[in-house]
Amino acid sequence: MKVKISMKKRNDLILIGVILVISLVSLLVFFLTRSNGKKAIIYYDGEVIKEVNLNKDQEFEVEGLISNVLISIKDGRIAIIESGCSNKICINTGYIEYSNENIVCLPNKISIVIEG
Amino acid sequence: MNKSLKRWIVVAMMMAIAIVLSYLESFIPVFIPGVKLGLANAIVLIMLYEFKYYEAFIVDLLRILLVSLIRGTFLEPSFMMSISGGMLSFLVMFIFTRFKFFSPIGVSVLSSIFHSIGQILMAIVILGTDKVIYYLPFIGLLSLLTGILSGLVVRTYLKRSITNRFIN
Repeated sequence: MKVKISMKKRNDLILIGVILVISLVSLLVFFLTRSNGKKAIIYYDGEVIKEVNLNKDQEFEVEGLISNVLISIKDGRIAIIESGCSNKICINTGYIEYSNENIVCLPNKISIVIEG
Repeated sequence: MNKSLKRWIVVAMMMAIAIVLSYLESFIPVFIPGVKLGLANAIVLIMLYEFKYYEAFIVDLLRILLVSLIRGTFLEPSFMMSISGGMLSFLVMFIFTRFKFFSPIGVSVLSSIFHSIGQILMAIVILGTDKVIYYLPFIGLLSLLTGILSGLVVRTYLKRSITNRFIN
């Protein structure tokens, strides 16, 4: 019985270790390979609806599923600053600037992805 | 009291706890709308250890439905993500409570990770872009933490054989 318990504990530790290593390594890869993005691609329901250059400061609206979404570009960074969704997670994400970073507004089915 | 009635009352109590936990955690957003920490999974995991598997399944499914009705998100994206995460993590918990390969903490960690994976898969389907995979390492680390925490809760509960005091 005692052996069995310690074996389960060992399996637990291996599991936790593997997950920890995978997560940390992929985070490290993200941070090492990231670069400042040049353009942002805006998707609605999986379709590209707009590509914008991040070098030009501007504000514009795009149409989402439940409301319009106001997008701001400033100093090479992009953010959603107004949206009619209930949880405002897209707005709380704030400005993003690195490649592969993204902003998601699920209620509006809008996502913004930065490409290098 | 009628034995099966008593049993269903205890199941209903477990469901009430699970609903309160899911409702509370719906106020803690994690990166992507709809991604939850899966604290209510602790209740479902306890039930998989000490109740019948279909009772645990009923509690898991009904809590997702009822919480979405309470929050008014039924059939909305965040509901779809809850149900996909919930069902995937139930499957994982079901398998690993049958094959006792891990302790409750390990099972809880696995279920928490698969809860997140299920939700991200649904987000990919809803958004039509796989870029949200970018969040997986962040959510993986958070899931690890919450999985260990709810695993400790489950372990403490199981040690005290609380269920036996209500049923039998």
